[in-house]
Amino acid sequence: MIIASSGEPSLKLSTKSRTKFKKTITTTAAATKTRIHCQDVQESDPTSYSAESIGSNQDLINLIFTKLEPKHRQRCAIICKFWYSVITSRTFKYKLPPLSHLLVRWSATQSRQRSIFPAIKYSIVPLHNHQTSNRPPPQTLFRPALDFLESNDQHVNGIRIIQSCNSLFLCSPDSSIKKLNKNGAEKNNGLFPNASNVEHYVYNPGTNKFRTIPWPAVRRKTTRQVIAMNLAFDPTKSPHYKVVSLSTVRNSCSSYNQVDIYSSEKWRWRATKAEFLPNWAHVDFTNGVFFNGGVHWASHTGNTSVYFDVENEHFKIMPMPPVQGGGQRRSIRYFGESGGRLLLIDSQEQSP
Amino acid sequence: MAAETGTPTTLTLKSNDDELFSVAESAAILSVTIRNMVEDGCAGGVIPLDNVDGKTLASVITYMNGISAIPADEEKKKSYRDKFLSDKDFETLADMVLAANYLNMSCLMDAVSAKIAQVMEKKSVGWVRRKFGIENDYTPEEEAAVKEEHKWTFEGVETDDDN
Repeated sequence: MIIASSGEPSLKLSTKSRTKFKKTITTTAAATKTRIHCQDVQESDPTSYSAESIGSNQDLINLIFTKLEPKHRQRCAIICKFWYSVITSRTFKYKLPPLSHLLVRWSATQSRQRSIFPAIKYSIVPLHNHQTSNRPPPQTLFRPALDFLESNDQHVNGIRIIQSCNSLFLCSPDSSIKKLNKNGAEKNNGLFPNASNVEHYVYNPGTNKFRTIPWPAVRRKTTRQVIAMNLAFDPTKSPHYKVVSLSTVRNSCSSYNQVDIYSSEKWRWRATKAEFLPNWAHVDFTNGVFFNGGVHWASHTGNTSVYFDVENEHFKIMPMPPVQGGGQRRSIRYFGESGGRLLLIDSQEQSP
Repeated sequence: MAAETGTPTTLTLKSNDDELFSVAESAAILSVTIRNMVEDGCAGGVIPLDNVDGKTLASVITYMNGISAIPADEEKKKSYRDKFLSDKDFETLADMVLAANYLNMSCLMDAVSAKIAQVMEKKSVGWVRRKFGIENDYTPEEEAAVKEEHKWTFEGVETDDDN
């Protein structure tokens, strides 16, 4: 139960109502009577005492804020300083909406396809819809997802989700399979085997729409090898997302590392002045996690790793937990964000 | 326990403007506040509810009766709540949040808060300030800065003529 505490900042009544009801704003019982006797002026002054009590009670107004979409909630910060402080406080208890859909990854094998690698497909299944009666047959609940490549590129065997970030996905075509099929031999080129050709997509599973993210520009006589490509999106802060690219640029005489940022506000890439930290060589850049304004990467060895502060555009040191079992190298089973925390699962199997 | 004999047990609730209401105990104990009184044996006579007026209490009792008549089917309960709140104006909803808070009825509080949020969604800053009786305590410079910071939240929202 929520009880109004006297320690909260009380809100002033608007000038008009203050002169009328100055004496009766202290207790609910007294105020309810006020409300009754002020009903005849309600036409010209629509403020109700109850609404005033709610607006000045941190717990009650917080409850209403949790029901508002993030965008509408953020707008309420303009109402007054007290609301601003509630909305922007670190203790704001934002409840995530319940999970609505499940993304299912499955492989489709077709007999006429010579490839030994089945195409990867995705479907979206709603988790709760519907009336108990008239429930449609289960198979019609599935709707295809991430199927936008199938029609325009037959060489692609599927799509790879690189990262899931606050309801958006960063994906790329699974071109490693394509390359393997064509040449008949595996090339170990890391995450982005054919970097200059691989496109990236930002995909919204809610709308089934995607946008192609172009490749960051390369100057003449230089090559670019991408180290990491990650999405940074926090709908409670901004409706725009950013794609962060870490790459090594080489020309005939030198090579250097560079961070570029693509913003959905401007629809273009921009090189940053961010400098890589000395410990970056030990960092595993294949799995970036956007959390608390930064893209974080874990490290298999050592007691530090790095994250990239997207707002301020520089790298910072991230401490790593001790290696399990006293060994030298972590065996990372999971690295991700959940419920406002960064989680790392390191499971070290003891060798006999 | 309740002094009345026979089943079902009926409780008498009194609003702060001295209106009396009879309600089945099975419906009234949706309020944790009332349930505690019943369990403590202090619900024998009239239960005074000092923070709820007659008009709001009548609405809450309609809700108690309606929702307790529905068997354990969350979807039907939800659609009852939606229908129950659909014709309530902002002032009534505000009264109900305070009543639900005082009576400790979390399901009603949740539903009414969500309804208020829905009403507020497209409303202008001036409307929200008027309805909640909030005086703008920003200086014009501060307000301009906060508005600039939250510019993106204004798409599709009513604008103030008087603001």
